[in-house]
Amino acid sequence: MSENAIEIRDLHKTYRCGFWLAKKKSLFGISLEVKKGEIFGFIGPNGAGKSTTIKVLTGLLRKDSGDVFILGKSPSETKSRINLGYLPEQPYFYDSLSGYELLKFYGGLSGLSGKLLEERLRWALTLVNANADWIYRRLRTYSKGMQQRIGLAQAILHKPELLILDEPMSGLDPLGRRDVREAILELNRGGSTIFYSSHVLSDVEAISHRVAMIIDGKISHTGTVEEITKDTGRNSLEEVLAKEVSRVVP
Amino acid sequence: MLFLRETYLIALNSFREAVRDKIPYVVLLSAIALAAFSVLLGEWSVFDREFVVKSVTVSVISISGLFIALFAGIGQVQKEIQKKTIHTLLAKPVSREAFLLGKYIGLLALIALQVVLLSLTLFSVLWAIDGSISAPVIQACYLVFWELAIVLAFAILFSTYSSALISSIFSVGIYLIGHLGNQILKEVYFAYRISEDGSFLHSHGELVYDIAKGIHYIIPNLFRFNASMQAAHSITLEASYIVWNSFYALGYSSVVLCMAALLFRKKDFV
Repeated sequence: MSENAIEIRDLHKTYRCGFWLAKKKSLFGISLEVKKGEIFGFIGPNGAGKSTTIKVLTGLLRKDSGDVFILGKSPSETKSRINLGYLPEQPYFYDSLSGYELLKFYGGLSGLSGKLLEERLRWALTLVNANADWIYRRLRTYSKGMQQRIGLAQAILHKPELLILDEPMSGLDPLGRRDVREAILELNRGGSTIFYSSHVLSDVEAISHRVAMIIDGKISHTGTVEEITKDTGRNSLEEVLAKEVSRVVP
Repeated sequence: MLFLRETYLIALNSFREAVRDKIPYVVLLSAIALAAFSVLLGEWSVFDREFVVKSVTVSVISISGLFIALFAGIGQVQKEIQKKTIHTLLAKPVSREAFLLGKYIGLLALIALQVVLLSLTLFSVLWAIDGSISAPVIQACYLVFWELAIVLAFAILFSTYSSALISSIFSVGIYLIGHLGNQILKEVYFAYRISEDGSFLHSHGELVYDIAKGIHYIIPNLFRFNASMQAAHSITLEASYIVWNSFYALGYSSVVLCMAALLFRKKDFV
């Protein structure tokens, strides 16, 4: 059994976009390893390739070339997602459903049913600090913060071994950010590996065991926050990121 | 087993979402109103009132079902892709094939409900005008369901790779050509037979006719599901015809859904 939750080797990805399906390369041979039990922060400017990498990991995008494994399986296998929880960057849900119905639906798809599902629902809602009053309301009435909490709850319902979160703190107020941060730490204490992307570098520095920085489709740094700042002679990740971005976009 | 469970849950969710949407209600109420209006049409028509009620209502069931297939079928798949709800769904241990099949079954259940409700409306109208609720009427309604099953499969296929507008145009195209296929083939053959020496059609007539025949075989023959005239004239269709058409629709829909699954398997969700 591999001790890595995520393994990416020489991953390339090209998009086809526009009317004439012009090619646009997004990832240029990135390699990455996330060990089981880690909280791994994935940082970089907008358009650097963070979401693309995450979508390849979750099987939403097909790779051009390279090797990708999550929990030892290829993302193209449906089974690879049995122990995976995923929160997309801007989660959208079926607005005709209530939060409770949505969670039951997703719990069912994750293989939960009956009493276990009810038990996990209560556990997940408590962990994300979701108010019992509004989970029976239709999702179309939810604020950004409520949607994000429901999004996180659906990702953790089945207590996945690996949790992939794309910008879990985006659009949240300081209290919401604190709740998400604490939920991440709690899940990690429970044994889950967390791989997340974020622009909130202070949070990344506070909770990540290791960090990878992606700039223009290439990994520029990987290591602990201390290792990265020491190697680059900077005081914080923000300074490292600013320096790297200025090199690419003078 | 896992595939069946995924498919069932997605079908259930798809049906629930469609039922909570307003569009099926609008289509259904309009169709019921039209069915009731057919009584008035019967009064004004030179034909027998029962004849008009039966033929008009069976056609109304078919056309309103087409609208539901377009709005609910294309709408739901497109909404999943554009609003990105599919991202969280496919990140679960759900195969893309189960997603498409679940959507299809959920929406087919909605169409079945629509056919049943409108058939009951037709029976009520017939009962009110002292008409006969005979086997041909039930057969005609049953065949409309299978016709719509094929159209829905095409709507799902088109919506996996093109926009809602293009998918709707293509689906309506399939519905029209499917119904007029026989007629078009006859017209092409007739034009070829009466073409003058030296004309393009005279020299290439056989080729044109073969192409028309090829298209006729590829596009589903929906005309075979149109039994409104048999219902109106109280002509009972043979059981073998009904069974064969059911298998034809099932087979055709399966092939179309397999094509949709092949295209969907390669799709990138950006």
